Amino acid sequence: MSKHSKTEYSLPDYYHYPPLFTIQKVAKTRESQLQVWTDLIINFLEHNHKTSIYVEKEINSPPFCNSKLNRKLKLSDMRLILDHMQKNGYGNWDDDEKTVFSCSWKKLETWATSIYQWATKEGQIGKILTLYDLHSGDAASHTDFHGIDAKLLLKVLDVLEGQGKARVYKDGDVVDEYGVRFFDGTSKQ
Amino acid sequence: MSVEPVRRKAGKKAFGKLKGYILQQASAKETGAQIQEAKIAEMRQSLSTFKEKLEEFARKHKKEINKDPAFRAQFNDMCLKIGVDPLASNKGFWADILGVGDFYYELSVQIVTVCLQTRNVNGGLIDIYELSHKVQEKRSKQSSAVSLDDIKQAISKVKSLGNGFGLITVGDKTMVKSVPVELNRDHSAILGVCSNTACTTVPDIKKNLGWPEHRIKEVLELMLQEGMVWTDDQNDQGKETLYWIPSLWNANASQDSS
Repeated sequence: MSKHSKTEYSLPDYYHYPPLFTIQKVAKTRESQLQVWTDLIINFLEHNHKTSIYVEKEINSPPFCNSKLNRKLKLSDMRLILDHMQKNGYGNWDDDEKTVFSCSWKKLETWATSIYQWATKEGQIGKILTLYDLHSGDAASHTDFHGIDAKLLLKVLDVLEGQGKARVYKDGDVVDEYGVRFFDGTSKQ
Repeated sequence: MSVEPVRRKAGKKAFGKLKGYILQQASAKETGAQIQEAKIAEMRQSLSTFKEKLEEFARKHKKEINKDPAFRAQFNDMCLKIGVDPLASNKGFWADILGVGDFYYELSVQIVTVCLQTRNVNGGLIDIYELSHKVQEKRSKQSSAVSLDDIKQAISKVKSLGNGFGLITVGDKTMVKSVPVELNRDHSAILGVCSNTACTTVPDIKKNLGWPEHRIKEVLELMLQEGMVWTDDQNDQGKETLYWIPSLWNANASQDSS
């Protein structure tokens, strides 16, 4: 599709729409704008398999800045957009100062559902697995969560834990070696 | 010989001439009426023959009519000339043999869908080319191609529902409006100023239209509230706030120009 070289990733059309970089004052338009930004960022995360955004470092690079148009987001506006993504379940802030945003191109709940479905189908209920088994193990190599970041995985498992469908054992210093046990959806521990 | 008979003779002759002339005129008139009547009858006949032929033609070329936009436009044109509107309803003979009613019904639904989906961003105003492009994307590969003429036809059908659908002309562009906002002359004038650049500033409008500032701001504010205009505080050519019309903006043009 892209006119550019194959390796170069081109952002969606709206990245080139100049007023996108000015937060709109009219509420209805601002809603639409935040939605466009969410789509833009999700697209960007998926293409680059990114699961965290370092606000102060990335504000000066695409998609938050368009040097060709001479447009960029203000720090406060970028945070406003990421807040909106958090509200919609695409991630959350690592710190109160809002410097690092952990996120992904799918909602945490969507990841959680897909992991739990896999566990049920593969007969993993009741067994203990490591986080490494989930994101890089052979048994899960055909899944859409294969290769996702351990930190993101931990957040997804937190969601399952909240639903009473899993228990995470955070033993040791290595996140990859943390254990997780899935439960039958009906029997809460 | 007296003069009398001569004069009488002459008078008789003149009268005869006049009578002949009157008779001739009357008969011509009568013949004229007759001819006209015959002509009308003939036209009626040929019209009904034409209608029959048109039906026959439609039956025979059903596939082409439904597939080929140019063919369809010509066919519609022919129908309109003899007072048949194959699109007026999806019931009856024309729809039965052609399914044209269905064609436009389906197209109208697709048009309304695209308008609703893009309304968030463009405030309910969209360039007819962009609309057509998006409708085309929506249609499956098997379905027939759609021309601008088809889009206009379908919109004229949707328009009758009275929900704000309509066509407006902005500069050399045709835009489709899908919101029940009454676009007055002032709105159109501002859209006209931006028809090529998709953006403008207050001084720019002032220069082009000669309006006082309060009138400009009032109209812009209304268009902002409707979502037809977005503001841009990062004007790199000056200090003035830029006002963008998303429905006039085109991604390719903006990438090429910078």
